Amino acid sequence: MKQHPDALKILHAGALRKPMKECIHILRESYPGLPVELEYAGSRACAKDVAAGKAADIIALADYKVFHDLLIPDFVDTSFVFATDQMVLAYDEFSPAGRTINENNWMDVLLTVPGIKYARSDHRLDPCGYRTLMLWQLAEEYYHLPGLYRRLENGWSNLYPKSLDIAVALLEGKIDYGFEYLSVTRQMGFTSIQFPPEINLSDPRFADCYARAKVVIEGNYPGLETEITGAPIEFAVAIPKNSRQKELAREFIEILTGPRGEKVLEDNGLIPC
Amino acid sequence: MDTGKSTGTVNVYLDKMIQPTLLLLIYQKPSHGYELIQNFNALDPAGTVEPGTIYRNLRRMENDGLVLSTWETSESGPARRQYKITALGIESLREAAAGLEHQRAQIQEFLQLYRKLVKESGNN
Repeated sequence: MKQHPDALKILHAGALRKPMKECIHILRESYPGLPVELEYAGSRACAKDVAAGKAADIIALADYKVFHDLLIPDFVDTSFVFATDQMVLAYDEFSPAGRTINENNWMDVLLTVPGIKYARSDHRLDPCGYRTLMLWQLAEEYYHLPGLYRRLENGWSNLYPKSLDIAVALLEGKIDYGFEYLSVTRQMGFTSIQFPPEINLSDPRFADCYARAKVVIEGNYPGLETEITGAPIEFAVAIPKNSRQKELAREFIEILTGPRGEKVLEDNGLIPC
Repeated sequence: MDTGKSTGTVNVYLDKMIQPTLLLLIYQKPSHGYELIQNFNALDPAGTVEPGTIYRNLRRMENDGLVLSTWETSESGPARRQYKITALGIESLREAAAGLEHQRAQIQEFLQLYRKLVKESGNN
């Protein structure tokens, strides 16, 4: 990528691709022609890049806990929660059993329809990945189906680095179903199965329930493991300490968390908070 | 708390209680949305009000000058938008409480008359 020395460098979770672009358009109303370098990846991958020295002025991730796990206090002072979302099962009009799948039988469809392909993102790189594993754990308990988590984990066909890749794979017909954020599903125009609030990781009222789900991933150092506990989905944004455009970054965050940014987030299926 | 669900043949709409309830909780203690959703549950045992509805109402209330939000940082967690009640919010809460007192009186009168008529007609 060609780099501009004065460019505003934004690193963000793939799921935020569209709203981040729209907020840049708003920023450019005050700074016409402002060079912006926009990069995206799974949130943990983004944070690891910053921890490894990658220059960024703004970092927006799908889980505030990633900041605490990998970036605070050495690379970031604090993060700001700006949006929530929920986990859904995305599909389209060409997905097998698309007309009969529902909130109660989705697991039967995924596990028993011959040749069906479903995907999740990589829990080591992307919060959507570990949230999918948490969703499956919670579903096992909620639907009283012992062994469901293990069967779903053994049955997926494709693993992607970030949630946006699942949506692209669904669009291209590489998979039939994908565990995804509702916001991305709406941005891409897919249909989705919405799960009960007890398991979809959207509702602070069920925080204690979500906390029963746990996923172990590799830690900050080789050989170390980190246990991630289930919690309501909260997207957060921060200005890394190595930012060279702190004032501009603050203006961007004011847009993202202000009235116009809230409208952008709403229009893209997120819930500003 | 029910948002527009029928409790019989006459619909009793209580969706207008969302903002007064949020004002009451914020009046009790400045809070962020996450916390308000959790505390709202105590006053809404059926849990029918979704988080998105709470967040949208908080933004609407701020636009209307009833509450004011600032970023509140914590040592162990992220910064969240914390809401405080304004003078206009306190006045709105007072009006809501007065309205509810009036409604309570109306409901009591309704029930008294209804029970009396049932008793007189010999039905129960």
